Amino acid sequence: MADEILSTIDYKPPRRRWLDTPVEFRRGTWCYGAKAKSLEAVGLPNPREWSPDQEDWKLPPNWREILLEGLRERLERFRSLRLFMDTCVRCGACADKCHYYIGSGDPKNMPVLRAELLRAVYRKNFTLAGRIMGEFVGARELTQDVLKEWFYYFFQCSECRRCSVFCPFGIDTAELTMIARELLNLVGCNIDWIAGPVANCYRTGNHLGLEPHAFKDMVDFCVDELEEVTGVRVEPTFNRKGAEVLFIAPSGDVFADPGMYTFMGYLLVFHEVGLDYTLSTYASEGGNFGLFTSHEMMKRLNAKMYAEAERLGVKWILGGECGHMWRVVHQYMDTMNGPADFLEEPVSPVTGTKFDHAKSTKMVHIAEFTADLIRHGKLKLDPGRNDHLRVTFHDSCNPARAMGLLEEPRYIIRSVCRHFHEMPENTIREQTFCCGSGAGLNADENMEIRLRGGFPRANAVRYVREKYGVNALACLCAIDRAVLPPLMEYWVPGVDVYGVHELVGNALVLKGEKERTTDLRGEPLDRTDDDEDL
Amino acid sequence: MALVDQLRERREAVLERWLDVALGDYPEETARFLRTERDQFANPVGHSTRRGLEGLLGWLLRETGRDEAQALLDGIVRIRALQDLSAGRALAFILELKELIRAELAAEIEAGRISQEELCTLEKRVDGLALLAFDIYVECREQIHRIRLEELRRASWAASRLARERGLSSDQLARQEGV
Repeated sequence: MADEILSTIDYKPPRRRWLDTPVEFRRGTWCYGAKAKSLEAVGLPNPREWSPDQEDWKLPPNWREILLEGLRERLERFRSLRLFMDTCVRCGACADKCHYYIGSGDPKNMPVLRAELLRAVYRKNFTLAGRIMGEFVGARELTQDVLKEWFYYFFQCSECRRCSVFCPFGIDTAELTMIARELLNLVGCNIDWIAGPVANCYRTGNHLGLEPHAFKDMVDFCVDELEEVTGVRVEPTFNRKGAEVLFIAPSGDVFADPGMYTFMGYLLVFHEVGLDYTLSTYASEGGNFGLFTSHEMMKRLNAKMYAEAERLGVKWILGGECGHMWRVVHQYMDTMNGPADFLEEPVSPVTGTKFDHAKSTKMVHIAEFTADLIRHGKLKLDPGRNDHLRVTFHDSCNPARAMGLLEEPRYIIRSVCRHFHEMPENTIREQTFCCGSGAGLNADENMEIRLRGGFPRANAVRYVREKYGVNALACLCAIDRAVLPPLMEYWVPGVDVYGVHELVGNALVLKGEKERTTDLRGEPLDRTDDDEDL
Repeated sequence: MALVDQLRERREAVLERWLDVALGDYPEETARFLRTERDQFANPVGHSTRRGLEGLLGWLLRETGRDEAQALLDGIVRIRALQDLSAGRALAFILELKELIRAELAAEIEAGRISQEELCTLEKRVDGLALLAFDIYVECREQIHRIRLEELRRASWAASRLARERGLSSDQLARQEGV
C-alpha cells in the first residue's frame, strides 16, 4: 500500500515552458481583490465582489478590447513605454536581482520575464512580426489566463527598481509594473489593500480613513507620552493658517506601532528648534497608493498636499520619513500638480540653508532638514542614550533609488548613535534590497510572498547580527516600519525596527528636560563605557 | 566503520549529488542560478542550502547532538516552508539521501565491504533528521500564522486605543470611522 502511494508521488517539478505554466492561486501568495465599495468611492470601473482564486473574475464582456485599447493609448502617451517594450535584449542582467525571484525561485519573478508577460501581448497586437510569426517571436494572445498571470505577477513586484540599477539599457521595470497595474484597473482588477487606502485617502485624507478628530487624538497621545519620558510638553498645531511650514508625514507614523515613536522624534526636533510649523488633518497622509493604481489617481491624491499648503498660506512643505511618497514628490509631483508658484523656495529658518534641490517642488525631506541642523550644531545630542542599540541601516528603496538620499540618514545615525554597522555593500545604498512588501503589497493575506521577498534583506541583517550583535534595524519609510518587524521575527529574531528620527528623539537633549531613564519606547537606557563602534 | 570512512572519502561527491537533489525541486533556470552564484548575499537560498547540506553531512558522520542538527535543518527548512513546495516535496530531499548513498557506494555494498547493519544505522539517523525537519516545518508554518495575527493586532492598535478612550467597542468605532 505504502509503495503504491509512494510510487505515485513525483517530487520533481514538471518541465514546462514558462508560457505553458499557468498560475496557481495558492493561498498566502496573492492579495484579496478590490471591493466594490473601494472602486465606487473613486469612480473606478467594474466594481463588483470577486476573488482572484475563483474561476470567474466577473470581467466586463469586452475586457480584451478595453485592455488592448488601454495599452495602445499608453504606448502613444508614454514614449518610455514604447522604448521599454522594444529595447530589452534579454541579456539577463536583471534576472537574479529581484528579491522576489531570489526568495521564491519562481522564474516569472525575474524582472525580464515579468515584463515579458506584457511584452508578449504587445508583440502580438502591436508589431508586424508578432502578428505574423506569433510564438516564434515571443508573441502571445491576450487570454483570461494571461490576464490572471498579469494580476498574479504584477502584484508581486514592489516597484523597488533594484533590477533597473543593473539594466544596461536603463529599462525601469517599475514603470512597466505601473502600466500593467493601470491596465488591470481598467477592468476592475486591483487588490483591496491598495484600493481601500486609495478610497479612504480620497475621502478623509489618509489611508486608514480616520477623520480629523481621530488624527488629532493620536497626535495628542504622542504629546502625552513624550511629556512622560522627557518632562517637556511639545505643542503641535493643526490646520494653522500662516505657519511657515506645513509638515506632512505618512499616516503610519501617527497611527501605527512602532511608527509613532518616529513621529515623536519629529515633534521633539521641531519643538527644540522652535520651528513655526503646522500639521494638517486633511493632508494627513504622505503616502500615495494612487502611485500603485494609475497616474491619474496618483495625481488626484497628491493634489491635496499643494492644495492644503496654498489654503494654509505656508511658505514650504516639510515631509516625513516615508518611502514611495518621495518617489511621487521627487519624480512626478512637480509636473503633475506643479509648479507650486504660491510657495517659496525652502530655506531652513534655523540655519539659513537654502534647499536648492527643492526649488521646484518646494518640499524638503526631514532627513535633509535634520542633517542640516546637526551640521550647524543646532541640536544638542547625547548619543550615549542609544547605547542599548547596535544599529544597522536599511536604505528604503524609494529614498535611496528614487531620490538618492544616501548620506543624510547615515550622517544623522552616526551623530545620534555610537554603535552603527553597515550591512554588506551589495545589499545597501543603490543596491538595497526591498523589504518585500512595498508598492501596496503589505497586506497580511500574502504574508508568504512578503517573507520570501524580504529574505535577501533579512539575510543581510542576520549577517550583521551574527557579526556585530546588531539589535536595531533603522529605516526611513513607514511601510518598512510596519513590515520589517514580522520579517525580523521570522528570519532574525531579536532585531527591532526603528525610524531614524526615533533615534534622534532618544539622543536629543531638550532645554528644560528631566533626566531621562528610558528611551521613547519606555525601554531602560544602558549607557556603555566602551569605545564608539561606528 | 567502513561506511563512515567511505562516505568521508567521497564527501564532496555526495554533497554535490545531494545538492542536485535539493535544487532539483526548483525550475531548471533557478536551479542553475542557485548552484552557480556563490555570493551569499546575492543568492541566500543557494548559499543556505549548500551550507546546510554540508553541515548535515558532517553531522551524519560525526554523530553530534540534536541541537546542531536542528540549527542546520532550520537554515534550509525555514526557506522551503515558505516556497511553492508541498510539505512532502519540501522535505523529500532528506529521505532521498538514503538512496543517494546506496547508489554512491553500490560497489562496496555489493562486494560486502559495507555491512547492512552499518547502512541501517546511518539510514535511521537520516530518518531522525526527516522527523526533526518535519517538526521545524510545522513550527515555521504555525509561526507564519502567528505573525499574521500579530500584524492584524498591530494594525488595529490605534483603533482599539481610540475606542478605549471613547468607551466604544472596536466594532462601534469601526462603524463610526468607516474603517
